[in-house]
Amino acid sequence: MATALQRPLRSRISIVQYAATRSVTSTKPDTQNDQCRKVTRMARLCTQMNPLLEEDVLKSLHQREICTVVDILQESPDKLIKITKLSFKEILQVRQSIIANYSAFPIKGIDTYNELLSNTAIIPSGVEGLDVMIDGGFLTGKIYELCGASASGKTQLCLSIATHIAHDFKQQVHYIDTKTDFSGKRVQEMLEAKGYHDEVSGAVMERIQVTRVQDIYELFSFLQHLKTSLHHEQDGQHSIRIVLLDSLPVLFLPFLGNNLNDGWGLMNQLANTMKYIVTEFHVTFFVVNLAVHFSEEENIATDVNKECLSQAGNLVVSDTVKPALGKYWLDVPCTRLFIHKIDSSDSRQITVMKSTYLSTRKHCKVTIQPQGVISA
Amino acid sequence: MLRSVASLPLPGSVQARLRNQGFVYCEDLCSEKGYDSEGEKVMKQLGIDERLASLTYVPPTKSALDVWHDECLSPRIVTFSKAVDDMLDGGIAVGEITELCGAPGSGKTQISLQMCVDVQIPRSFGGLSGEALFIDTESGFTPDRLKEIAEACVDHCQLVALHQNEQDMGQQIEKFTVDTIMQGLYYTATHDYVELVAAIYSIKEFLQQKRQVRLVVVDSVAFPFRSGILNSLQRTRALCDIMQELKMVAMRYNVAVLVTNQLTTKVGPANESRLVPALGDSFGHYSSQRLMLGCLQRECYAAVLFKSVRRKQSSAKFQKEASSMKQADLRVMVKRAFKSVCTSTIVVFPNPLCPIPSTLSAVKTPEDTEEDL
Repeated sequence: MATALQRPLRSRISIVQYAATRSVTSTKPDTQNDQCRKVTRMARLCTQMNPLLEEDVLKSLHQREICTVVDILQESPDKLIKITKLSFKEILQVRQSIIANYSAFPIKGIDTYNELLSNTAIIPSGVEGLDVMIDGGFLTGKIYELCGASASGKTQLCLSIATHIAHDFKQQVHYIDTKTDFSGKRVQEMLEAKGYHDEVSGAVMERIQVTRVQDIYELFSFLQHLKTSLHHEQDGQHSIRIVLLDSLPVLFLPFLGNNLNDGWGLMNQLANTMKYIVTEFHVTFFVVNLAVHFSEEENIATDVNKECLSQAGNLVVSDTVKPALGKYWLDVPCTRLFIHKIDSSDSRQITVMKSTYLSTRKHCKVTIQPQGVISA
Repeated sequence: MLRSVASLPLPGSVQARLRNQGFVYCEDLCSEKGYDSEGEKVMKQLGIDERLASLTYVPPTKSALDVWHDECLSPRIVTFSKAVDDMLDGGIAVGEITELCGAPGSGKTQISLQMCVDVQIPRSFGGLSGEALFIDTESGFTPDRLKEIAEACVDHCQLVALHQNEQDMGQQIEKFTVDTIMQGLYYTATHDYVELVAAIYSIKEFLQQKRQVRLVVVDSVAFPFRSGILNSLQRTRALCDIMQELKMVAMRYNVAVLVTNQLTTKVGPANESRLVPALGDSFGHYSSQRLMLGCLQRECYAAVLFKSVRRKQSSAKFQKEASSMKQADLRVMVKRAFKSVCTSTIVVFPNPLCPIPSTLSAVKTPEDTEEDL
């Protein structure tokens, strides 16, 4: 099992290995944790939380603007006694039960490690050179980012990855499309160029689930929906292991200017939701970002990632190009890949721009062919 | 993990009131069992109780197979140049934004006018029997030219009908005249970016009334934004809003959107300069297809597919060839160097005395406006 986490995988991880990591159903040790999940966790105080919190008690609390769990925990017991007319002991009891319900439980390090081992998988992208570069494939539980200028092949790579996973692993892939760029025709062309039969192609395309979102709010709704549907899954079933999001900046560009703070707030929430989904359900998020030329977009809300660019010293174009979404977002993905055009119109270079576990000097060459993105 | 109220598309004041009353998560407002009684009361106060479902609307998920199916069924507007049509997978796609960019005189407006005519070709001829909306920012619209193109198109269709001798065609060709083509084009002129933004936001309403419209042209989207009134941040913002709206219109009303863009000079790190599409990278990110036009020499034009999901980058020449006279007839745009022709016959258009409607309800057909003049 340990192989799943051994990084220096020279060759592509085999399908068998992947299947093995997948099929292991872990018996979760933390039944206690599971029970907690069933309790409706709300921030607002309600009668279901504790038998002592009766209607009239809640009413008097609300009148003093103590409405949420945090409010009640922050208030001193003396004041609470005055407001609620409960005894000191009862107040402590209420506090205890709320804390017990809302705090996270410590789990032993070895348990988390074992759980990680049994649930983590390496998902090969299907592009040989890229897989070698990122040590075998994308790790579940992480967020990856691909950035590149307009028409540099970002969507092509996404379509390739989606097609590869839907075909080779017979797994469902979620594809979130923010600017109606997903092309069924292109996917069909890729499958045809690979020489698959129509029935196979049909089944593969059936497994790629496309959701078109118009704005950031719809994305939130969809992610909540995804979260709920993954929640109802049995342990170890892992019906979805990768979610592709093409592309992110379109969702945040409307917040440029006066609404910049709102945009950041939403970006934070999005990062939070994505991180929750990737760690809790062991999936990979692959998001697409845009790289802009900063000579032209000087005032855009992005910052020059000079450090990150100078690390990738072998980039020729890097000094004129920077990823959108600014410094805050830089923290969110564990690995940022940068794709850019070289020489002819079909060849591209993918470079590791930032990573928590890969060397940033790594790069690989790929070309865009009818069958998708392949190693050069 | 619960969904925060702040992630709902609600104004800040409403969110603040919800927060003050202790509603931090959507689940506080309504749980799986149904509405929380207090939550319901608050939502009623704020007037959002009926809208909550639409606020948390989950977009439908389709399989790639369904998407492919829809794509195959979606009609195309032919350009009548075989090379360009092939490059674009059969013409300009309905439901998408196609961007044309090119230097002055490269034929952007000409192709736009041509598309306005082509979209009206009757169904039995493989057309869409649609209508077109033309938003003009550069005053580059010339009714004379449109009439010429329309005449050529009608001639061509009559020729086809003569050869095919089908009843459907015969009936439809009678109704397909230069007059009906001119009737089927709605024209609006805008003079600055404010008017352009207003015009684009009113497309939705216009399309609800005119269901026949299958093509929206914005010629050009760049011109009003290059005056330097807006700083680049404001400009990017305004352009994003425009493109977002156009994208929504294209998808919801199933119309093709054609925007034209100009070129700008970009100075590289080694002080070398090259021509690139204007309006910046964020704008380019929005269009799903980008076509660069250029005039190679007299009477020979080239189109380069700069960006497309479906097709690889390729180029096509379109020009008048003796062997394909019919095509060339129709593609009058390549007959001559148009800029010179157009400037000599240019009509001051529209009447500067008549205020430009910010809603499109008062849009005039070209002929009406000519009478005004």
